[in-house]
Amino acid sequence: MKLRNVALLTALVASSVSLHAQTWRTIDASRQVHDTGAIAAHIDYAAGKLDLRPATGSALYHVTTRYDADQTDPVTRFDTASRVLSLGVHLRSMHMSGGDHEDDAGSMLAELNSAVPMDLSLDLGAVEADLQLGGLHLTDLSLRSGAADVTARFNQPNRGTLRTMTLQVGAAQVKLMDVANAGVSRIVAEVGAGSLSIDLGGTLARDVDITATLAVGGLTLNVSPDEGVFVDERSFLGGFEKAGFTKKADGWYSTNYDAAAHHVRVHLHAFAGGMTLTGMQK
Amino acid sequence: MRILHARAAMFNMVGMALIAAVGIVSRATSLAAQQSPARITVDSLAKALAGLHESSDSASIPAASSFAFGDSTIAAGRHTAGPVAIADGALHVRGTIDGDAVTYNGDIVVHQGGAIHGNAFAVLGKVILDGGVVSGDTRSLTGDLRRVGTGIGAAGQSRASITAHSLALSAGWLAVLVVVGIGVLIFASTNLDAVSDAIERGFGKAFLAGIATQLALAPALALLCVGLALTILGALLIPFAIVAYILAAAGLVTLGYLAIARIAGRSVLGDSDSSDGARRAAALRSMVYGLLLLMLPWFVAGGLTWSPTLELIARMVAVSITWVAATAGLGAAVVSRGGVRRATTPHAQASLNTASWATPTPVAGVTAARRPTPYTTGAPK
Repeated sequence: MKLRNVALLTALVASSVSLHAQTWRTIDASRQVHDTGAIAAHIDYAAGKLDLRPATGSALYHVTTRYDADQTDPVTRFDTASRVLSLGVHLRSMHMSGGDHEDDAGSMLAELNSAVPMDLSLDLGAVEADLQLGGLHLTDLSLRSGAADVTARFNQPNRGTLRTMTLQVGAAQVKLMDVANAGVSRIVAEVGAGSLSIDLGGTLARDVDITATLAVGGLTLNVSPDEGVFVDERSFLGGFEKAGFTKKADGWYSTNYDAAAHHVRVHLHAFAGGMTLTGMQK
Repeated sequence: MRILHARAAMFNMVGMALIAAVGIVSRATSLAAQQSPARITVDSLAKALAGLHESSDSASIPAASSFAFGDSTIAAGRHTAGPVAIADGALHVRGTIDGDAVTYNGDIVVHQGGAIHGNAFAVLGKVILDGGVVSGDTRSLTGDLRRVGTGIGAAGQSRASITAHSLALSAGWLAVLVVVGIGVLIFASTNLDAVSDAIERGFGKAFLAGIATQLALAPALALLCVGLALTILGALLIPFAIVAYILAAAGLVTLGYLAIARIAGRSVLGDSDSSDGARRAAALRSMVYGLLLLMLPWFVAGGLTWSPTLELIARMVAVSITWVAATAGLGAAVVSRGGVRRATTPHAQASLNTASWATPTPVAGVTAARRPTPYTTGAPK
């Protein structure tokens, strides 16, 4: 009887299978640098594999996108008037091609000029992204990810000063490495049900203020033992492990806070999510 | 030995079906590949450009009538107003283009001293900056584009690819149905028998039951959801119930369709009253033949892409046959409760009405038989 049920279930699943044609195209787009005025770069990538790195040549941008023309539209546009660069792939319909195999998924390799100051914003859907942000001249960074698996690295110092890094994590897994090299002074993080990991490795040049709002997701913050940490916690069910901290009037201080050359100040708003601090001196 | 023969026949049948499917697809594909692109004409270029989606990237491509054909050079020191559009050849820019440059099936080469004051877009080609300047964006588009040749060739190739796709789709569905049918024959043959019986007893009744079921599917689902929503636990189960309901409906349709296919095949091949193994082989053979028969209109429609009118008629016939088969099959599956309730034929009912059920001994009596006793010659001990 069980075998019969299995067979019937197999029949159901197999009968629902439909064949779908795909039209794979590759567009290679670039633009020469004519001046080094600041730009705003938007990368909006719905699904596939994304690689981002500094450009090696003299191009303002160079992007190679492999996409399914039946389902998606590539976007490569630079508005000279507003100095806005738009790159990415837009979904035309919700029917996505299977991404289980490497050959079946779209991909985008984007290279951005490292001499041009830019506000960079990334809006990523179901994307596997490897972002080499070190070496760029970033003045502002915004990363919004739905169900992405993102690794962003600052393995080289940022050429400019990053005013704000805004991170919105839905159900994604986002990992930022060597963030101290970004020269950032303010990080705003909102985590829904995903996980966000911020590694403040590299060379920290200034104090960093982090405002983290956690719904049910988690934040892992890795700091250097030389840095003093302050946490202002407002949590409901979540929170953070307070071992190694001393409670004062306005929050929790690490033991080396007063002696540390640079400080990391965390303003934590956690509903059911939790923050984990690693690497700090206890 | 007979079982071995039956199994061999089963494998042969499945193998033949799959080989036929693969053969059809590969034949159609090779036909498409044999259409080698020739020189591009304005008409074929227009068709090719129309094949490009009107995305922001391809919006700047001028009309086919604006294209010049063959290699072209903008000489050094010369200023030309854009857009400059070249098909089936390379565009060498040594002077200046005030506007966009577009090529189809050719490269754009911007040499030293050359300049394009606009965008450079090479479809099925590359933009090569050989010391020149492009003030706008450079784009090159490659990949699965509709290649163009001469007028007849272009249309023929396009039709060939459409035909190949249609036939491949039909072959794919046939292969899926054969695989599903084998699974059902192996694991749920009694259910299939019961559904087949229900169809054979009364096709009209099954068809009407199928229509009634189709009409009742949505209201029944709505009622189910409303009923579940009355309790908190039930409300939580609504998404699962919807999925299960859809799966159950699809399963009934599939079971019924396979039963129809088997009956159709049996009507062609006839019955087999041999051993169990041979019966199974015959059942599989019937099903495969039946599926081929039911899918035949789809193959015919796929092969008629050269004539839109005939293709439309063939597709309408195919849809009608498929719908009737699926509806009758669904109705039979519902009547037989998914093949769980076995048919009670009038003959069987009549035999049940006799008094024969009342006693294990037939009322006509049993012929007496002498009890066999061992024959001994020796004296009893």
